[in-house]
Amino acid sequence: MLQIKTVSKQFANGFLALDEIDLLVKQGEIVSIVGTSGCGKSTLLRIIAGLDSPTIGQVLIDNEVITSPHPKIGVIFQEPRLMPWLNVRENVQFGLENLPNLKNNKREKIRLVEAILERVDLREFAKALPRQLSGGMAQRVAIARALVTQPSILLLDEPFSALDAFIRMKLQEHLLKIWQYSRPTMILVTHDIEEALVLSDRIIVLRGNPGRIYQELNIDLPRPRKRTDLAFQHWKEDILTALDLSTDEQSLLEVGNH
Amino acid sequence: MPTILLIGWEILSRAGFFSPNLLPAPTAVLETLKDLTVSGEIYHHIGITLYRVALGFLLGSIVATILGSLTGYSPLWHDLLDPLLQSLRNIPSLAWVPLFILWMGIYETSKIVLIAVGVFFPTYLNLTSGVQNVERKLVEVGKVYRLNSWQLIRRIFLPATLPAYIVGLRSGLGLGWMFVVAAEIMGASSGLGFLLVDGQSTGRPTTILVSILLFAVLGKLTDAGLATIGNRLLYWQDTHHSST
Repeated sequence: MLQIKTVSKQFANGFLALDEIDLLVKQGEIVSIVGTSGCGKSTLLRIIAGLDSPTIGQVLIDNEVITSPHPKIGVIFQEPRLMPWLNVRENVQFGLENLPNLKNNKREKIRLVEAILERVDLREFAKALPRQLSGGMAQRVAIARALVTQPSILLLDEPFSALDAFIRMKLQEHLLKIWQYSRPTMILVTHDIEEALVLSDRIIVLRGNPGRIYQELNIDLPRPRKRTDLAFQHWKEDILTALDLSTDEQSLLEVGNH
Repeated sequence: MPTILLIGWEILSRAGFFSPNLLPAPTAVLETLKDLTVSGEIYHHIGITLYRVALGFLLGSIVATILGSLTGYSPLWHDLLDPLLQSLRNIPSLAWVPLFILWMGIYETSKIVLIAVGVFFPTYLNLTSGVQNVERKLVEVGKVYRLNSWQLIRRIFLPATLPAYIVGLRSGLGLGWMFVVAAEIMGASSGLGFLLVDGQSTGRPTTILVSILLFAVLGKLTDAGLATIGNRLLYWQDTHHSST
């Protein structure tokens, strides 16, 4: 279980990025955080990842306070962030570099890497260098690298926003398949409402300046979800209203760490 | 193009257009090279010059590697050392010569230290900025997987800095060759730079040209060697030239 307890984040310039965020995520749940640029959603994800620390409040995984990146957490960023000097297999294995219980178990490492390459259909590209991959393939390598450690929580920061619409939908399907296989908790930051609706059990609408939870929506649509369903369209309307894009121009200002 | 120039030069020399005691014909230069080779004298000069460049390069690049990594990686060390090094860099390096000779004598030590100073600055500058410019996003990936400082250096900083480092070493080597000439002109009894002075004082332009020719060839060869090593190490780079 993941607990976010009254987390606030104030930047050095005084900007209040997050204001008393409280959130409870059950094991295996898929939660999306949506909001306009600068609403603090990426900052929240970075705090959960242990890459930033909150000014006030705590993040707990199974009652353990997060102060630095945790082995149970996998992170997928907006860009693949592969090491250009490592091939696909080595990039995936990079995820296992410092896993405490695998320190000297070379055979187990190799087994894990091969298994995950198989699952994301990258086996035949195992020796390719990142510069030889398409954007979608590179992001699949990044997904494999995050999954190879068998995390119980997967954090995704706008993971498909740089890809074209077709690849994006493919990878969303792919992600759901992976989730059905090992059921990690997933927290997805996105500004693609349809993406959030296709994937999530719950959608958190964040509004910026200061970043606060405006609304929580339990998406009770059965899976697999069709974008053309009437219920799907209704949900989309609801979220657009909650985002209320018309007011508060401040929240549209890009603030944060891109 | 170079061939045409060379042939033109040869023809004009033979026609007496250039005075042979100012600009001798290419064949005359080759003749001198042959004589020096046959007598074995040339190997001695090449050997001693190569030895000086190699030692100076080694010394300069090792110090540059240590200080460059330190100032690139740690902001504290950067603030402590970099301003000082940057201001030393602004001193024309040849201005050190009298001081070095005074400190270390006219023999090998002062020459090698001078070459090392030449090699140091480009290597240091490229390395320190290379380390500083390692992408934060990649370092963050290392942090997500809880790499310790040593692992971060070995797995991310080192390979990411390599392109800039090799550029630095190559320009360092170039300056090393420049400085060996300076050092050998200033006071030496052997070496290719000595041949330059010797040719001048005895009025033999062929000797000077032989020396220049050898400097060009050796400089090119050593640089090509470094470039080859660099390309081997940087096969992964996504550059304009690399094909997929």
